[in-house]
Amino acid sequence: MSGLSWLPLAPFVTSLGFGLLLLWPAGRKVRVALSFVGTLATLAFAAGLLLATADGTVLVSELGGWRAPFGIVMTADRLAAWMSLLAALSALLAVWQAAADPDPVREKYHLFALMQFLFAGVQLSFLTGDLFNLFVAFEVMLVASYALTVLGSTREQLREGFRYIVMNLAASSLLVVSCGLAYGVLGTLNFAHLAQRAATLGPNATVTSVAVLLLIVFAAKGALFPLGFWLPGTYPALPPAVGTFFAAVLTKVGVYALIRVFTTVFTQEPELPHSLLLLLGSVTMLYGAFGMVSQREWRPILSFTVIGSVGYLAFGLGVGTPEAVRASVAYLAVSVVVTTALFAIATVAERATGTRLVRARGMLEFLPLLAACFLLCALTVAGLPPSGGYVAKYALVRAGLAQGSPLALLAVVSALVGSLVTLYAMLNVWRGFFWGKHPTWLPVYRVSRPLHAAAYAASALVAGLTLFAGPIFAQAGATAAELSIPQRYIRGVLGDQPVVIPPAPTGKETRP
Amino acid sequence: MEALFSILIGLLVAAGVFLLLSRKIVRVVLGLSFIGYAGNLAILTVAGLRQDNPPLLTLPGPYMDPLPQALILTAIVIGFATTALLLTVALRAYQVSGHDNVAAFGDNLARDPHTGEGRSADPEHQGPDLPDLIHSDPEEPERPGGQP
Repeated sequence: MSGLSWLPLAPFVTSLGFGLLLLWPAGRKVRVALSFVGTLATLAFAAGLLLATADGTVLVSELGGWRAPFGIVMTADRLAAWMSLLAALSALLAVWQAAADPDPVREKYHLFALMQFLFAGVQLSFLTGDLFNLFVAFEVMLVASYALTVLGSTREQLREGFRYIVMNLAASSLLVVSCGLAYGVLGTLNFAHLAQRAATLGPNATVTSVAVLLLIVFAAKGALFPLGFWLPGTYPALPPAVGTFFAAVLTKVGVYALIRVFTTVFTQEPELPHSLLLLLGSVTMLYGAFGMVSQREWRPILSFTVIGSVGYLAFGLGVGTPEAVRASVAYLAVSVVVTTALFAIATVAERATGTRLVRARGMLEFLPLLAACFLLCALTVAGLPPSGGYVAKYALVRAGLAQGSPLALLAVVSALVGSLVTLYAMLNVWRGFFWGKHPTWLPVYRVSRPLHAAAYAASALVAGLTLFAGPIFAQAGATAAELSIPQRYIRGVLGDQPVVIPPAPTGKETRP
Repeated sequence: MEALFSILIGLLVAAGVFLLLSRKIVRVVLGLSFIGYAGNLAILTVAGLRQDNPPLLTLPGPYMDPLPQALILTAIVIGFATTALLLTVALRAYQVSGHDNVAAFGDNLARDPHTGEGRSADPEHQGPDLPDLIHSDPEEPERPGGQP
């Protein structure tokens, strides 16, 4: 390959390296500076990946110099680079929030280092080209997330953390079993090689059942409806900066894995997984929307927006046409950015009133700029016209209508109802927190300026979604086009020659 | 041989799920390890149970496929690490709540009639002096049926 073949490894290695560096006992300023440098470097590498894959190249790093189906490879196509960039952006804002919000006890127990390890795991899961390595990447990410979930060991964190850990360990063992089954059926674990073998095997019930098993695992990671019960409890229990990154990115890792598996790898019998995704997606959209209405505290409400957004992504993937995949890829960007912004806003709002409840009323008077940011994000989440969310949701609904199967129509109806209910829930927050007259008995605390700034920066990115909807959709369209022809990815990873597995040695060769 | 292994894996998963559904934290942890072992055996089984030579090229063939064993090795290492982490969390929860019962994981971990208000099980290992993030609602109603 070209001279850039080291690049897919770079974001992971950078985060991991800076995570190790941050274990060194140093002052707070040094740690904050190191965190920023590490995250900015990851962001730069991710941007480099996006540029390098912009012409459709599939970059491959071969670990240990072994060729693709035999060794472990890191690969980056447009989708992986896109996700890597989004995760790095969200990571930068999370580090910003952590830096703006001193937390001496948690920092003493390596909050910054654990965050870098989490970023490393996330980058590894986006850039790996191997099913078993995806399991390892999930574990790297999840172990860091377990530690961050219970770091500080408040009662709420322990309670929710235990539930989160048990749920994810069960899902992980299912992932190991599906890796084993995939290897048993197809004899390989490399994504490209799996796709090639599945294509030569043709429609096959065993392969489809492995694919559905993987769907269940990734649905649990991505919090699709029946498997997402842990999410609304866990995310509000986290410290704010960590919660921002968890909410914005961790479920998207599951969605990324779903997209990868169902557009690149197992494409032979798409009807069953697609209908499952549509069905689960429809229920998830409604569950997320009605869950939002049921909550009265900031971050539980926002956690349900995370669940809802996963439903929209599953909807796009379940429709399965290139237009729908394009809309899903664009909505991924919307969802990551807007969730980051909303959680950053929630942090400021909670700090300013000293309560988690959305009941202050009249905060418009004290925090006018924050109110404007919240309104922008609320419109984006609900998908109303002057926002990037509208463009993406419109594309999703249009793709669903164009496909026109009964399940797709059901999902379109759920998407519309879900958006309406989301709008209602968001307006409720607006009415309860910003509108009206402030009661005099409720104190308003000063919130540090950098924490405000983090919320504004994230909201600026949300505004950027609208302003740069054209380029984002162009990128998403190119990604979807690339995903609709898995042969490109396969050829990029395995090369033009068919993979020839040499016959097993008989042992006589080395005998004297 | 494969049939025997399948039955064994089924039994392990059944025992694991049974333990996972129990109320004691330690039993939940044990249940997860059982499920993990079942997963490892499943990889070994689907990849083929053969009594060939180990993959050492100095021995006469035919050879075993070494990859499933490498996968299991990785899965075992990761499984150990996560089980240890889960046990540590369970221990911390026990120190804070005073019993290893998931029922105590209701909405108020430490407010249990038997341990008394705010008293943790292990005075040697108090939590770091972190407040719970922000209390959700100061005038939270008392749990119905809780002893005063």
